[in-house]
Amino acid sequence: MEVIRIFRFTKTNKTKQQAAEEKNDKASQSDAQNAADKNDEQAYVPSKISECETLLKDIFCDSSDVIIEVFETKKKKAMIAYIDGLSNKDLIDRDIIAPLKSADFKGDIFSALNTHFVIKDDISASAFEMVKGNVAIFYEKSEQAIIVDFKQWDKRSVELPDSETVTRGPKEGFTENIRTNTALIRRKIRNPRLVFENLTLGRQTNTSISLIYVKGIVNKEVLKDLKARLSKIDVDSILESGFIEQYIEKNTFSPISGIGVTQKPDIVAARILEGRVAVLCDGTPHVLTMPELFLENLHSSEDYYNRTLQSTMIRMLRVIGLFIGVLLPGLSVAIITFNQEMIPASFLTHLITSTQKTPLPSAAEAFFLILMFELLRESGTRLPRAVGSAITIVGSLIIGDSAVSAGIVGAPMVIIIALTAVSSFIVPNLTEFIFIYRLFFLFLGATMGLLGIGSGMIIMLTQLISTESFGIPILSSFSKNEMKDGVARFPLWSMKYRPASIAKDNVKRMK
Amino acid sequence: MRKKLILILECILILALLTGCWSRNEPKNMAMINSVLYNITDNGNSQVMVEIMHPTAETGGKGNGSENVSALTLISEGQTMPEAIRNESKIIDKELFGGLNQARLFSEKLCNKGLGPVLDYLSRDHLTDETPLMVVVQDDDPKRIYTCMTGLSDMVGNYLSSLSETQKKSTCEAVFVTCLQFIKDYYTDGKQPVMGLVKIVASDNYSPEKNQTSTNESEELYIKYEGLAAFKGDKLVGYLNGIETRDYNIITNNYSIAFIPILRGNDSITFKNLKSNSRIKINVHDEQVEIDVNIKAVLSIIQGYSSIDISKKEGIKKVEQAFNNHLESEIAKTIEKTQREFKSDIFGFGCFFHAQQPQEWKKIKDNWDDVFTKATISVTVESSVIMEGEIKIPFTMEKQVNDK
Repeated sequence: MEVIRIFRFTKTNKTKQQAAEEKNDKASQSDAQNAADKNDEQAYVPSKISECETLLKDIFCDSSDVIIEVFETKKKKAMIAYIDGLSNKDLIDRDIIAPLKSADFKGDIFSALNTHFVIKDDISASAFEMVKGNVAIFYEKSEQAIIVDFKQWDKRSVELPDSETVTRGPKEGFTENIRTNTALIRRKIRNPRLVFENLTLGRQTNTSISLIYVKGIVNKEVLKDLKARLSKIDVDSILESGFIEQYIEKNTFSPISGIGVTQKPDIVAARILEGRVAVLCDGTPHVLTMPELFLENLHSSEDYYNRTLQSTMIRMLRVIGLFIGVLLPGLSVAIITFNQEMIPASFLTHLITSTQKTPLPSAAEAFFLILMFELLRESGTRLPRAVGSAITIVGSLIIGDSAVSAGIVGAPMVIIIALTAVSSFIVPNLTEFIFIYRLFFLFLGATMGLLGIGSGMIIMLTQLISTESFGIPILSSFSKNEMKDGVARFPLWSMKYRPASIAKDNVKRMK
Repeated sequence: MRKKLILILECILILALLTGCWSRNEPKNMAMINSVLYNITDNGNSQVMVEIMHPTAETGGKGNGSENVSALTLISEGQTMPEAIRNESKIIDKELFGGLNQARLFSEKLCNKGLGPVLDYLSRDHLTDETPLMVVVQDDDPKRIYTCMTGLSDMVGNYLSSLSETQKKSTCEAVFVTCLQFIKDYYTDGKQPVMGLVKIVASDNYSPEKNQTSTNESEELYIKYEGLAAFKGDKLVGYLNGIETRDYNIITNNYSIAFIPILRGNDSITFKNLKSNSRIKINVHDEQVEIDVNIKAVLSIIQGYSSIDISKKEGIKKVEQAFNNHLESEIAKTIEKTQREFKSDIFGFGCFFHAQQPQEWKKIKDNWDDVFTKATISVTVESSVIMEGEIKIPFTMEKQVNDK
């Protein structure tokens, strides 16, 4: 499905065609270029070059980076149009201008160009192609535009993304260029059945989106559902895959998202091979994969590259970290405020001593420290790198220490919140989940004690159980067949089946 | 949308059913009770003395322990015990919190009068629990216990509770009874409750730390935990001393490692009892109850200075025989003392009777204590020595052997 916006233009004198303004919606399968030719009866390419030139300048509103050159060949006039910065000037000179200007030019442009080209009959479509970075060539009286792909612009190199570092595994990450990204995935899955479906979304931005799956493994309902949701997107701009994620999700106000995001090609390849669909968005290295189960947030790619025992222990550690990050402030406030008998006597005396002189009740101390920590974290991400480390050290040490000696908070609460904060970084994908539920449990623990925490757990569990990601419940990793790759990681030779909830056909991986 | 509304209402309903706010209490407003002393005054009023943890600025609180600088004691009176406890709030500026109470001390006078009212309060009130130790203070002025040295702990309650943990491994001449155990025994038909016993003794040991800050008394008092206080119902009937308490522990299988000496003339042999197992059999012949106590003990010899050569089998047999005789007479004496003086079955023979002869038990269970007083006791001890230590022949005998 794609949306092509045909630019409005009017002709004053000629009666041949009239102004047309249409919006076409239709489903296409591979290339978008044929669509314009089929549907639009009134688009055309003027036969006089000067008219082409004025038309193009009008479409582009006299933009200064659009280069439109009219030059004389041996036979007739020709015009070349491209956008500066998006095309490779050397190749243009060598492969287009040189053959056309040479002495052997016989008038047949199609044989003179020694590059691959596509022919367009519509000037607005060729303007669209120029915007994508291609070069448009016009020839007098041919009433056709020739589109050549000489895209070249400055790109970031393929390097390790800084938020998903691994100690073992490939150190490649996606970049902002969609063609590089698709190439990276192609190199991981060398299978002709790996399908890339192309779309363009966004009225103004015309961002190209790519759907990736392996035909025969992918879950067909998920694919159908995804395409239906994508077809409903009709917005101005798609600047990042996050936009797509938010336009297609069903549970907007839930802290759990059903869509996974990653920056590494090996993770995307592994997920595609489990029956999921990946969505690439041009201009961002973040790739979406759907559907996403809850426990995937606790997994990292090194769990599969390391050996069984190590991976299992580290996964258990992550589960413990998740529980600590969510529950510890609430639990500790509940126990300190309502059930002091559960605290060991020696710690209790310390607690009483340290809270004697502080003005706030324990719940308010906890909330204050959590707030302080979130402020530190947020400002730490915005700091320029040069100043960053100094301020983080100074900030955390000094604030923690001074708050205690100034008598605003007690030392036990500082260490509790510090432990919470550290363990919430173990699972970076679940930051919003942890944040929201931590406050929820803090509130419950402070007002209703352990019973409140218990009922809060019930509420949280109910939400987790009932959330579905593209029709698949997100806690399916706890079903019988999928326990091998949930909290523990069984040996690779024993994981014979793909996750049965996602890959409905072709469940068997190996013999 | 409708499902979401129902979910939200369900959440609110769950939360609204919890009314937890009423027990909210900040630790900074609490005074932690460490031990309580229950007493009655001469004119019949109940008196309560409470020991509170007093956290000071540089608290470790665990430091040198010979002074009570981090404990605060308060006395108050009232007509009944709960009223006395409530009256404590007139003299302390924080709320009393009994959740970490380690020990409940009872004075002799109160135990002689009867513990019934206090126990009713302690079981009924929801803020008191049943884990603290119960101890009788055998002294004329039990309040002095809060002026004693408390070993390596800082408060009497902590001292008693850590004492209970260490003593279980070393000697066996004391019992450690929690409130729960006492109340269980009280309600059991065939057993009478017992309680631990504490005495206040003046120090006759030299302490090299005499220059510590504590004493405004000229003498230093120590707490000695030894012996047992026997009850009949809820009234105190008598005491057992250390050795008798050891026999009590052997009979009731409460046993852990203990040293038992035998002295005869020049010989002194000390045994270390590693394990012992007691079996009790009740037989009834013509209205006469016979209680057979059979004890199997596993021993190791700690000190074997005697003329018996314990490197040989016959020597070992002789030594075992001596031990058997010694222990049998000791245990028989203890049980007879209980029968004669206390007239209460603190060992729990009634429970065995109930288990082994249920028909007979039904007839006599209402006056079991009288029947117990007239019962005949027979004790048999079978011991076996498994370890003799690092040398085989007794110490001086070795020299004689070498001289030969």
